[in-house]
Amino acid sequence: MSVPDPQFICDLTDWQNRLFGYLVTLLGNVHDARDVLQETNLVMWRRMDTFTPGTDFGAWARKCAYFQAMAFLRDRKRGPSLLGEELLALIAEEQEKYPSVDENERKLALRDCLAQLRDDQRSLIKCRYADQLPVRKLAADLGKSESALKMTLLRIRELLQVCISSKLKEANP
Amino acid sequence: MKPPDFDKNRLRQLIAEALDGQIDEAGRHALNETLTASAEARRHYAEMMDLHARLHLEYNGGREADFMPGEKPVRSGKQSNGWRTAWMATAAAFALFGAAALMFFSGENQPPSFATLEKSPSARWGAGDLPTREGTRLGAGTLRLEEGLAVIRFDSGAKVSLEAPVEFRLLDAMNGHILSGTAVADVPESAIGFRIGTPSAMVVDFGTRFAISVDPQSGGTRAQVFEGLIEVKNPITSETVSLKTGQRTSVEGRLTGPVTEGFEERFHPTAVDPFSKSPDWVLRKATQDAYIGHTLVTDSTELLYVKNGESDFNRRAYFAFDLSGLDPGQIVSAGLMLYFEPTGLGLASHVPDATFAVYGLLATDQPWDENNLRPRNAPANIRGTGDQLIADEVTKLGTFVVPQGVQRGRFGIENDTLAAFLRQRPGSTVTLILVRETAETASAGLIHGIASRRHPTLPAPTLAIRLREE
Repeated sequence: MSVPDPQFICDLTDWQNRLFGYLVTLLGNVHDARDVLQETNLVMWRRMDTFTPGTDFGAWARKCAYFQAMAFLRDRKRGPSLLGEELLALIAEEQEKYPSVDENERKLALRDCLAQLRDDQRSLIKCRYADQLPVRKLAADLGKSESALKMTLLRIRELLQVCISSKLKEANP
Repeated sequence: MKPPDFDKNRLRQLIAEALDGQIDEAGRHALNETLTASAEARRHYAEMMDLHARLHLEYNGGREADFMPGEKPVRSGKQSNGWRTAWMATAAAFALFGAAALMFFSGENQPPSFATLEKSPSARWGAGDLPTREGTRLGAGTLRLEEGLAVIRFDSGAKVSLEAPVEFRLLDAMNGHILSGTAVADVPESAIGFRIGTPSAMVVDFGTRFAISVDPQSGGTRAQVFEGLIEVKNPITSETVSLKTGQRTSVEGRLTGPVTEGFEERFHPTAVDPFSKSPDWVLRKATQDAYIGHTLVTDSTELLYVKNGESDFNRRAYFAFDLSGLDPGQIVSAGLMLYFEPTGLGLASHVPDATFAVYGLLATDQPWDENNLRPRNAPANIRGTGDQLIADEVTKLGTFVVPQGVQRGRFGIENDTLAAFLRQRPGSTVTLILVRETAETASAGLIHGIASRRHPTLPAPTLAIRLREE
């Protein structure tokens, strides 16, 4: 096995979170995305020599992830995938056009925006993500209906998204 | 700002269902339709899914995924294995890079040591070309372990447990070779990329715990992964398969076996040495003995299997002894002698020092048939448990410990509790039950074997009774 280019290692590290987000977008859930990211890492590692140093690492990595996601969806025996194959191809293509955002900025923006939420909103997000409580259980605990809770969670995410977008715009005018 | 070209509220509902609910067929259809029709809808969807992913990272796995070269990774206690493994291939890059740097700096003047013989409980060593004292440093060379267990800690962080009989060659901090026998490797992130060769395969580790077993005759390789991910390569065909948690495969010659799910007990069986010893007391051999928890492939008539692990494979042994003709008043002391022998099944690395408990069945009128003893009809048995018995039907007579890696030798109990138990049941046939209280620490743990009364060379399970001298 050849010794990897240190830059390759940095890029691979740097792209983990973005690839995860990319795979969640394609697959529709974090569980499958996590499995496919693992496969993708393995593939990138094995096919290191197909990457030309100095070219766009992100594009190459996304391509690897895209093919792994497709293979995953074709192999899977559980129900249908969230999105159809043609739509996935379209979304993948469009992802290439979005401007690349610095990973650290992206993360700091999320943290700032989480800090700006009301306490009850932030604790709800924490229950959902840190404690990974199913919505049904969370709704029962809070005495809310499931559908109301889903919309509340969505609104909080939308608040976060607006906040993050504006922060990133400020930083990259 | 122009108005959206899609029903924004409908899309929001669909995304909410996709993220937090159970989106149904109709919902999926509507989502696909909306997204296909509108680029803006796609952008909104992608942003929300990406945010969902980021929130997961932020609260669960993000810390490790943030790990940059030169930074120390901060481990989060709540981190899931999924994240760890997802991370591993990347960490593999660092490990190999580090190993290469190490080789570069270590120079070539003298054979360097790169591992430590960490422990070797009850090991018996054959002729190798490396020192075998515990704690000694090891360089390149071969170890032959004939009995017991030995643990090698490589400087890379990889830990390899050798299970006798095994022949293992150390190559460098990132490479080992099994010539024959079984080893269990535990590879932390620092040693990802660690490789174990065999006569028939090359196994590259991506941060796991896995076992490799090499058939001494054919050189065929079996590999199974307990946690994580490995790659098994057939050097003849260049075929490579990846094994994930819970999967196994085999390689022999040109043939790479299928990847199958589930753990396997059968590793290559170990040779059997006859062993015999008996004390100077009145001896009563078992009139019946059997174990429960048979499985078709790993059945034995000569050995009684005892195991405490996953419920499907738990096993416990029953013995009957006839006390007729013994004057109970004369019994002053008693012991139970059991002769252990390797079953060749399961991994000693997964079972620490094992405590066995001997129970006496209170009733003497509860007959059982050694040819038809099953979990459902075995006296006092609680099905599905490793070591539990119905408490008011038995009494605990004593325990003994078999050290880790030891699979051979005479063990048992000798105490007043057993003597009293026998005295109270004059002339009857008593039933003793043996369970292993120590559970395996990981799947596919060792099955202990005890010679049955059908064993061709070893003594049967035996009650040793000392009578008062006239």
